Amino acid sequence: MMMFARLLSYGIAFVWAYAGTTKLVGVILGVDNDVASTWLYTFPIWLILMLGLAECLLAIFIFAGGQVTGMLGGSLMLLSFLAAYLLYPPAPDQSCGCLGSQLQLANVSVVGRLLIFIGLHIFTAALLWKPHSSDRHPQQGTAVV
Amino acid sequence: MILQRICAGLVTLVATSSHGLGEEFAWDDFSLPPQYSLAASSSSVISDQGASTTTPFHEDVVVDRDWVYIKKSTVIPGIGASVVELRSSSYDSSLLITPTSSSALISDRFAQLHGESGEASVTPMPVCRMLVHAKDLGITVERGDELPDGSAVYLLSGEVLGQDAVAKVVMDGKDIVSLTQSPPGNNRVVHEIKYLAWVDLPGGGRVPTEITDVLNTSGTGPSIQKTARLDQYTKSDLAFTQSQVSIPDGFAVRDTVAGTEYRFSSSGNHSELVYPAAASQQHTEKWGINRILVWGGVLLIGVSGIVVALKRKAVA
Repeated sequence: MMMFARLLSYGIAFVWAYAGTTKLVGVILGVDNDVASTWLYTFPIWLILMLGLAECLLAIFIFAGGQVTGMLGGSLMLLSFLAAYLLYPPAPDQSCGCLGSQLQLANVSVVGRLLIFIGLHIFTAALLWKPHSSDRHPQQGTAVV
Repeated sequence: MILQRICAGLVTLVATSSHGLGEEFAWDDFSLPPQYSLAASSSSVISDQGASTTTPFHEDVVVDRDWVYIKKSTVIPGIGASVVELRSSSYDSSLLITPTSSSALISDRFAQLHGESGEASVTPMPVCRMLVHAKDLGITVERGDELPDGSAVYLLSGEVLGQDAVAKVVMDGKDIVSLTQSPPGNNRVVHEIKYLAWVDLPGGGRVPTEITDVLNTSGTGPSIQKTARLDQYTKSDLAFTQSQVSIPDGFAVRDTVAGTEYRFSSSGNHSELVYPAAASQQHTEKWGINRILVWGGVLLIGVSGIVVALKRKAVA
């Protein structure tokens, strides 16, 4: 089970790495018109650069061993993304330009995609989490595996 | 000589009679070009019992004598703009798309009023349409006393921009300077739009670049005050843009002309909007991918909670 959870966390980290690098490369090399018309690119470029950087750092953090913290951090990022999407909706006919567009999930609601991904993060974190008794290990952290 | 005097008298009589029947306007009486596009920074201040809320907007508008396209976005400072409504209206139909509520409204508002909601706040074109089509709208137009600066005053009565009102249009040459509305039988101004800072457009025509729109329905002060400053304005020559505006799939559509309501599908197979959802719709939705993903996500979070609880119990 632990091996499965670890593999799942690496898979998730790969998704973050892909999302981050495509954003960074896209911005650095110049965003093409199709991508620029998506909802994500209605935000300023500096914000997308920061987001791309944060996603890459999150992926590195997970690969480096901070899986539980990384999963919780990823969930928070996804939650903030979900909030932005709901509070600041895209225009009619405007594609999201976010999670799932590469996975032939264009017709699937963004809320659905984000919720299942948030669920996967939390589930992985729960599987990887090693509980400790505060009596036995009062100084030990719980996050890093 | 006598014949000449009789003829002159007849001409005067005819002129006086036509004046008495009301002023008539043609498009050439206005300096606005037949069509132009504009981008405006605007803000609405809504005052309510001492408190006021300011909302900045960005508006992209293409206005024509026979149609109008308005894309209105709210502006979040430092972040960007998000579309709050799209209007694309002509004498055929009026379409309003509201992305925030995933809904659309089809009506004949433009055909009825010769203008679209909010249009007069960014362009005097609906005022021009109203004056040109005054007879169709049942509005009577009479010339009032000239202002000291030489501006012409026209007094209107009837349904002005959708409101039963007595209105006054002030024109400086061919430029519309202002429109004020008062309730019938009352001199209190409840609505005033001023079209200021007119500039010449390359290619012909003139447009106002500053517009203030003040609504004072309560009589105690402005309840809604909107100011628009045109950042860009160009004379354009576009075909009607309504075909470029399509209703997104899944939007709830209310068609007041046909008297129907449905959920839009680009394939043409619109599904019925039923309140509450019909059993058949619930069945298809029950197994839809979106619902599976949403509930899947919730289930995973729930299972995670159980896993954590079990692990804690095992350690304890």
